[in-house]
Amino acid sequence: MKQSFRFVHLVILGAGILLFSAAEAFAIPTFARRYATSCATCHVAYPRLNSVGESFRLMGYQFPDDERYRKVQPVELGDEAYKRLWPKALWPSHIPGRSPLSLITRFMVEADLDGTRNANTTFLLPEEVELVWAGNLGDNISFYGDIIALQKDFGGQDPDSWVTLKAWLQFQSLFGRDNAFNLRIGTVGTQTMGLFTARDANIYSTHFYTYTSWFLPPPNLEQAGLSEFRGNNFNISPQQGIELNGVGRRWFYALGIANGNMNEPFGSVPESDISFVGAGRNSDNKDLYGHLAYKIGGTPWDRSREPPSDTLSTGAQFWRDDALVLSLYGYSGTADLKTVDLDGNVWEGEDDFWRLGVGFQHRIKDVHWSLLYIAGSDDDPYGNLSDQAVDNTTWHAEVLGFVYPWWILYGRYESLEMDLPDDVFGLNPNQDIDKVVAGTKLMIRPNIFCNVEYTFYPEGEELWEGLDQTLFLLLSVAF
Amino acid sequence: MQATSLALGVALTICLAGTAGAACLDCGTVAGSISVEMATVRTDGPKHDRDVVVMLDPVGSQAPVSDEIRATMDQTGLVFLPHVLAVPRGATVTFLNNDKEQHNVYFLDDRTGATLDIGTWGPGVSVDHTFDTPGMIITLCKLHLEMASYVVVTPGPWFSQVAFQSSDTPVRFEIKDVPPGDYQLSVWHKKLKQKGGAVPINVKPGTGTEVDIVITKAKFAKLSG
Repeated sequence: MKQSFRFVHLVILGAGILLFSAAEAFAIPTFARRYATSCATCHVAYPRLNSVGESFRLMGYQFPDDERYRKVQPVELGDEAYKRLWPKALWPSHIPGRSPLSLITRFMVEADLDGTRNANTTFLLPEEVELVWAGNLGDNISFYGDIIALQKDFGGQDPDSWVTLKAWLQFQSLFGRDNAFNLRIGTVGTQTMGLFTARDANIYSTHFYTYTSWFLPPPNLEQAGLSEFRGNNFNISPQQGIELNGVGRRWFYALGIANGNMNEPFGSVPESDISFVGAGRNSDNKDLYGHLAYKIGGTPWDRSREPPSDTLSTGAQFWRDDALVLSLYGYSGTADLKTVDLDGNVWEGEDDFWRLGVGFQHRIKDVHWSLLYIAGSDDDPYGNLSDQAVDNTTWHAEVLGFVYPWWILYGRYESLEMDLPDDVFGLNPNQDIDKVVAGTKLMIRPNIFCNVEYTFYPEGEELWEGLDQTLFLLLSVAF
Repeated sequence: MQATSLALGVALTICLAGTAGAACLDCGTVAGSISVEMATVRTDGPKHDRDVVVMLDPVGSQAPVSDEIRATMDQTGLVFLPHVLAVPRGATVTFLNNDKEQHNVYFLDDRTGATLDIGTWGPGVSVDHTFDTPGMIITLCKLHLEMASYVVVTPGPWFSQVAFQSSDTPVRFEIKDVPPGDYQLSVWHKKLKQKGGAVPINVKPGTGTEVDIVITKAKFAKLSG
């Protein structure tokens, strides 16, 4: 039985860590160059955004009255006067005046404190290199993309490296008030998949949230008597699709249609070692998602003028914005299933599933805390192996506090429960996990940080022994 | 932006000089050149170091307080303007926010290391602050870490703020309407020091005193010469 646990562990861990590369880049220093400003203008401590950075992101990488702040002017692809001549002339546009490229590098050392890994100490130096591009093409078009090269080792058990690619283009302010209706095409969900209040791109810790890093485990093929099992490997992460989103003073929404679950070989990196995030074998099953967020207090997302603009306040810091943000997230999809037994008999079917989540994030002075709860259900995730539907819940509580502007302490408790069937051969029905993350983040410079983080699993440690009782040292630099 | 900064500095100097000596009939003038030695000054960009402040501190007496003097420092485009502002002791500076961002003003006394957060305010709001003690105050914004400016609070109303156009070309300064007497002439520059330190001078009634000043890196400044 231990053998099957290890197998499951490797499968989940491998897929989970693959997804660690799936979020938005950790920072976009090209904007620091464009405005000749510090990272701290937009980041609490990168990657987490402060109120200015969140607004800048939501408004399509622009400040209100953006020209005032630019130190590098864009290159015109046509004078503004040509707008008056349309349709007899090309509509003018801009391209960035300097290269929109940024680089981020992560270096990691993993120390296994309980001796369950093959390698007690693992050097991943570097662990990850990101090439990021982002910016605007005129007033109403923004773009983003990244190429991320990773190497993983999984405690000396499964060394591998691969490259992922993401890109999107957004047409803003299609009609109505500014930024109320924006159309995004490409890798949707780089900024909006999952709960607004627990975005991976805003994470403090070394690893992403559990709720974006898990999916339903597959059975052990040998014990299940199968030669192939393609289950529902959906997880909450960026995908390829089209999204309508909008932002106002206090509200944000996103509605999208996406490819849905990837029909990639289960639990492994893409066969080509280079893949567009969210890519996979297409089917006619497209998934739908929606997202709502509302901000109470603090700086409005659209940066419209309102108090405290006309009041004086002391004690302001770039990370402070006393506000409560509520978010709702929903996803509905259909996954293609396939099993092939040892005799070559093929069974194909579908699994309809949904996820519904609610999140809170409260920033008050030097403390940020957040709660997340997501429930979900799959009506038939194991196809002809079991008729049982599978319900699941994920929740976490997170808190962090500033000791100094450069020193942050944080902790998080996460829980994942899956009501797995007990009649599938080769599938351990108890794969619930509880996880504790405790760490400290040191901002060595505004663009360089170091994390010292300890992770352990009060429940499910045998499934995640590669991360259980492990000390991570992460050094990240962005420029 | 550079032009605006320079214009503000020059305008302020002219304004102050005129005020200080309006009724002084037997006053003298202190003038001279300032040159850069074994160093360069950056004359462009929002955080240039082209400005030099020459100031006089009377020996054996205290200069009058210039509490009628007012000056302005703007915050616009995530930049303090001007980058260097010289004001006499007792002057009041109005800190404006002409951005659509919130801005903060946070003082760091260069000599004592003392800090003072005078607040954070939004677009269109301004706050006055009176500088009662001579010295150099580094002015920061806690919300935009790259923003910085320098308020040079002179001991009295006798000072001149001038700006280099290049490292190779000396600039002339002139302080008019200086009452006769003994003074210490000192120079402030963001990065460079006055070679040989402060200079004692004697201003005679109705006459001009010429002083040529060299500024250089701190490691060379203590050398006589």
